[in-house]
Amino acid sequence: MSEALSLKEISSKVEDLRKLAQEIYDGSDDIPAVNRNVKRILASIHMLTLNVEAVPD
Amino acid sequence: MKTSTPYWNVNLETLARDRLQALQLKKFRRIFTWAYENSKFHRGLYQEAGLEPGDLKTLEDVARVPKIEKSMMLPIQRKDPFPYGDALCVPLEEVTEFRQTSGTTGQPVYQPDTWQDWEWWAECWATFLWAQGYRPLDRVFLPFGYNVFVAFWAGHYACEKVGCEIVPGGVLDTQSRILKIQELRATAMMATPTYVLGMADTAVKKLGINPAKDLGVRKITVAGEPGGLVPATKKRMEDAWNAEVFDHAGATEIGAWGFECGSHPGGLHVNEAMFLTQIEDPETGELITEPGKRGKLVITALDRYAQPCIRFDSKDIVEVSDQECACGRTYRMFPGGVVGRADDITKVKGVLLAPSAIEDVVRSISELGDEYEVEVSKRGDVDHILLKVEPAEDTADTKSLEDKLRTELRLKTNLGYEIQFYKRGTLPRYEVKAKRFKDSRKGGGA
Repeated sequence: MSEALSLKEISSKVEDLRKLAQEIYDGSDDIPAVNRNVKRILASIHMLTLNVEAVPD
Repeated sequence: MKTSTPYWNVNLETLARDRLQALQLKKFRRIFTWAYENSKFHRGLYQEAGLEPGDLKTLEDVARVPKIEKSMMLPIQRKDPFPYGDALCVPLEEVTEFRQTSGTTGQPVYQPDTWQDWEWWAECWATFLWAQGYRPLDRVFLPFGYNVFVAFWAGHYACEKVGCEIVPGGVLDTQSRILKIQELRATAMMATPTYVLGMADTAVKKLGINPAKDLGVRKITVAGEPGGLVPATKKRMEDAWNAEVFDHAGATEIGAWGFECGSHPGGLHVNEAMFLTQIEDPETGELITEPGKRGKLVITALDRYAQPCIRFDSKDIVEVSDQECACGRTYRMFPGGVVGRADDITKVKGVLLAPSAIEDVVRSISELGDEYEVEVSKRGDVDHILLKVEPAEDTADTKSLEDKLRTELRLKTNLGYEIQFYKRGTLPRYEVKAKRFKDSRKGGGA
């Protein structure tokens, strides 16, 4: 069983995910099967981002 | 995954008020800037008011942003790009979802969403389904005619997100739906209050099935009508199904903004991480902040991007409250939920009448059936209210029932009514939003 991550750690990993997915999206114009699926993943990552969004002080 | 946690997102749902408001301001500025930069309609509206994104420094500044009314959307949607017009903030190829309003208060408005927005819709629903006790082992039956109206579409996708097993009741008729619920031992259901009661009635009278004893539905989420928080209607539904009934509020143009939690506080929480709500005096437009006062809800969906909903005049009437909830959420609450509609509450014989007050009286009398209709008209110069009801049993003593009904109505609404009894099963039945209140003085139904 993995240890629970802090919100900050989750947030940082979500940003890593976003960058990876965006990179795949930008580089997959020729393969709809990749491009369209990663587009959906980006939408889910956006929702993840909203769920761990930093609250301003 | 811990299913015992009562919160879908503990970090947002229990956030201290000052931090929650800081998050709302950050999000409001973001969506305002997005709309300003990407929609000709929004930019024109805000420029006319002398506002630019940098002008919004505090939540108080938000009240300076012009409101958007449903009536403004129709001319917008006659412009390009077809069929949404220039309130659209994304290229057409980004739009994946079409829905439209039901058009009960005029022409329907088209609502585009991207897949990202649709994720957000499902997230809003998932937040409250979790609060209402939906968990991955639930088998949820949706007796809903999947169509152009958003209704329970987002509930379907939210169930998938939560991990529930969803059974789409689609085009099945009422009896087939009941039998399918029985066959699959569904544990939860979503429908309008009218249909929840109608299904129970059909189950008992047509199939000899008592939902309270013979079916396993123990959670019901309702929407589309005020009945979920009208005490007499809620009790009827809970008794008929032996289930916990939860209300929620939302609209096609806005999203699913309010929900009843498992503590049943007698009101709706606002999902304030996703929506900013302001309450204003319907006549003066002044913001109302004093607990106990009622006003019109002006609402912003903070994370919806394709066709933003910024300071939308919902016409919903809600009550300001500083009541805390036993559930521990810091989200604001509206006691009684949506207590009326600005365009429904009407003056009859000089008295303000809310249709939900009549519903509460009719459904509190157990000898009356679930169905009723109200017709307001002019007889000469005098307003006249006709209330059509059905007895629960054909053998009922309608004379004493009429006396009881008349007394209760006088007490709760301060008005006199002509009461007509109809044979059980003869008044119209509805699956979606019921149209029970007709005001011919306005030249049509409300």
